[in-house]
Amino acid sequence: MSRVASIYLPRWPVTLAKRKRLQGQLSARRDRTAVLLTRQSPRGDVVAACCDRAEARGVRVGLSIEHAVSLIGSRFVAILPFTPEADRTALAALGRWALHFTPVVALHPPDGLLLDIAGCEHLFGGESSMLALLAARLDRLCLPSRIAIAPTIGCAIAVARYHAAPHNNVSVEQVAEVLFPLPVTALRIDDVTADTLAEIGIHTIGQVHRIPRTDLAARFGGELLRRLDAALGLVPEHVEPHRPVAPLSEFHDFDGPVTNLAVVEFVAHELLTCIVERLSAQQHGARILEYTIRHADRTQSVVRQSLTRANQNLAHIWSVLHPQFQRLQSPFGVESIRLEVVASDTVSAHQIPLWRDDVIESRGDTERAFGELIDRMAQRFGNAVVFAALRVDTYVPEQAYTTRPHTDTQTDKGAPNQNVNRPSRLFEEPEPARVLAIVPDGPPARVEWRGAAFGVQFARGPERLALPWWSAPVMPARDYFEVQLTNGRFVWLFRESDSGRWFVHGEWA
Amino acid sequence: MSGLHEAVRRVAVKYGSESAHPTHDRFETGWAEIDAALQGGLNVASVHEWYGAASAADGRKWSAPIGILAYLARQAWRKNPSAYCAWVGRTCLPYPCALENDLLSRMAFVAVHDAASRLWAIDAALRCAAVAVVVADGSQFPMSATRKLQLLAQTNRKPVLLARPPWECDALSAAQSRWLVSLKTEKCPWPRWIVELQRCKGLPMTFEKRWCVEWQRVTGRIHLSTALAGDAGQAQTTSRAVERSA
Repeated sequence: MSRVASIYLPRWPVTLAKRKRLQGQLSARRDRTAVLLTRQSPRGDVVAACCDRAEARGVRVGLSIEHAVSLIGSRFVAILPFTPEADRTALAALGRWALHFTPVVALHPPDGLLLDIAGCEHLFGGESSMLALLAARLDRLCLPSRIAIAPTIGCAIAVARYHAAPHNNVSVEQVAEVLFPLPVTALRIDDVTADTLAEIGIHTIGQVHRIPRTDLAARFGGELLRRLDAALGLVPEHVEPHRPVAPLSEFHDFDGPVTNLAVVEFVAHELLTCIVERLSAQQHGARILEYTIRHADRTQSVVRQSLTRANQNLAHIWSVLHPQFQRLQSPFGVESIRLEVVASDTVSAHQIPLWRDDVIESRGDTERAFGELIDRMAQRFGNAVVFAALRVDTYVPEQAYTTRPHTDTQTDKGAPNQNVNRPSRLFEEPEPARVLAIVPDGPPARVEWRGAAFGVQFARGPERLALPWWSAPVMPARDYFEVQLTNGRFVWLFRESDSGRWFVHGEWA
Repeated sequence: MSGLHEAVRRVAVKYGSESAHPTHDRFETGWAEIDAALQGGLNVASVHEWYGAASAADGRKWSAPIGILAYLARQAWRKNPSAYCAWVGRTCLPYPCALENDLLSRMAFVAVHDAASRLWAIDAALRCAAVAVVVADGSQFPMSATRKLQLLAQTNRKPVLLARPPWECDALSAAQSRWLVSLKTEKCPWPRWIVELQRCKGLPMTFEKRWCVEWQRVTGRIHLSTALAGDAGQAQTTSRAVERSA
């Protein structure tokens, strides 16, 4: 007999955002800050999710952020980005945790889990004990939850999400009695069907059940009928388990502590060869590799290497890993070594060209070659020295771009180029200058900068750039001028609106 | 394999399907007069030196002609848009927002400072098949370094655009072309530079070697001033308050 547990995690994105913000502090329970998650829309930033404190003040999904903040009316408001991909990853991690209770766990995105507990409940002292244990464990993890155990998936999901009680154990005989008072949206139907049912005065599952089946199918199609039958157990519905993929790894255990590090290097190379062969067979390339070396004194060393692009080239991977092994120290000897592929990615097979070895035939080859170049440069100079730049959608010049390593797999192309009239060179810090203007708020007429005095032949501006009032830290508004000095140099000069100080921020070199 | 390739190339040259001088492969600068003078543009498989101007009264600082180099890098990169551009040298890094989005997304910045590290990075980039053009700070490079870079550029058929300080313009160099960039001091509403071709190996220097280029405000690109004579207009101070908030 099928028994399914549905775990519903209300406000899952908000819960995760709160945990990340407080970094797991126990004071999360006493935190009184209202949390709003934002996403971009054509109208600007809008609310994508909110906490119960904000909802009690009238905040709803789709409201503009400014309106939501005004409704909350408190200075304890945290505005955080909405990250659905990260939320799904966290849900998958929770699904792996739930494997403690049953081997069949499915994700019910965006905020739920389904557990097929048939045959497992006796290990926990019965269904009621299992339900209590699940609730207690989730509570200990500070994850608000609603749990329902029922004979069918549809019934379990509906009861977990819509029943008044947070935890329920529904027997076969109680399915109809528990389901019928619930709203029609508990049947997992689309909004259009739910709105149509509401228009004709049908609000509960019981009312839907009383409508003749032929009329239901004719009016709303087969989907509504199928959902109702699945919830009542008249048609089968199965949990599709979420199967976490075990990472690729190779392991070698020495017969005794090995103090000769050349032997350790040799074994590490052999493990890498095996891993690369296994990856190649799957048409995968390594992105992140990690060696765990256990020493005889019960300590362990970790050698970790990230690669810019997925790579199957054994010689290249070893060339970037080898220097780390040369720095390894093990006074008491090494007992075992384990290599694990922390992250991998698919690579396309490529045909070696016949005539010229340096010709790249495919985009995959370009990316692989570029990845190897960046790996070599990062190994020699460090990751901070080799980077890519990305535009950011802001008018503040020094914040209008961000740098990131090439190893990031983000596909974000950055903000579009909104301001083409920007200097080719921006100084790391604005350089103070003494400026004489004919009128107090007028363009500069004379500039003293870097120990020399210049007249101004031409000036264009001002262009006022400022941060929004709610941003932190507060930056005074700047009036920028494009100025040609008497020696021909074109510089980008600004005056702070509050202090009146002048700075040279960049030049057209 | 390389011997077989060389044999195939000799046959192709003999029967006219390939030029006898691979170095005649060029990329256009987009400046018509300069391209015409250079017989098609800058040589792809060569090092080109661009000398900037002093930027401080004591002459110890210099400004690399970043705008011109960024423009030329994009011209060279466009011949192979799936490849990357490497920009080496901490002191002459461009402001990323001044670069066009298509080039910026294919740009690798290497912010090293000392000459040995820069040389190593340029060497590695030239040997990488995924890099189409290298722009670098070439200050303090001796003759041997420029010769090495020229040979690498020739072998790998990639242009190297080197920015060098003005006080090194008399130094020995194996670069194929040498350009001096100076500021145009006349009053003008946008930046203008004089680019002077000091030498270009393999080309008779019988043509006008000085041109005026300017930065066009609307597009952010650099054009020959003569081509935009009608658009330059009267230089006058404008006082237009444009308030934007981020």
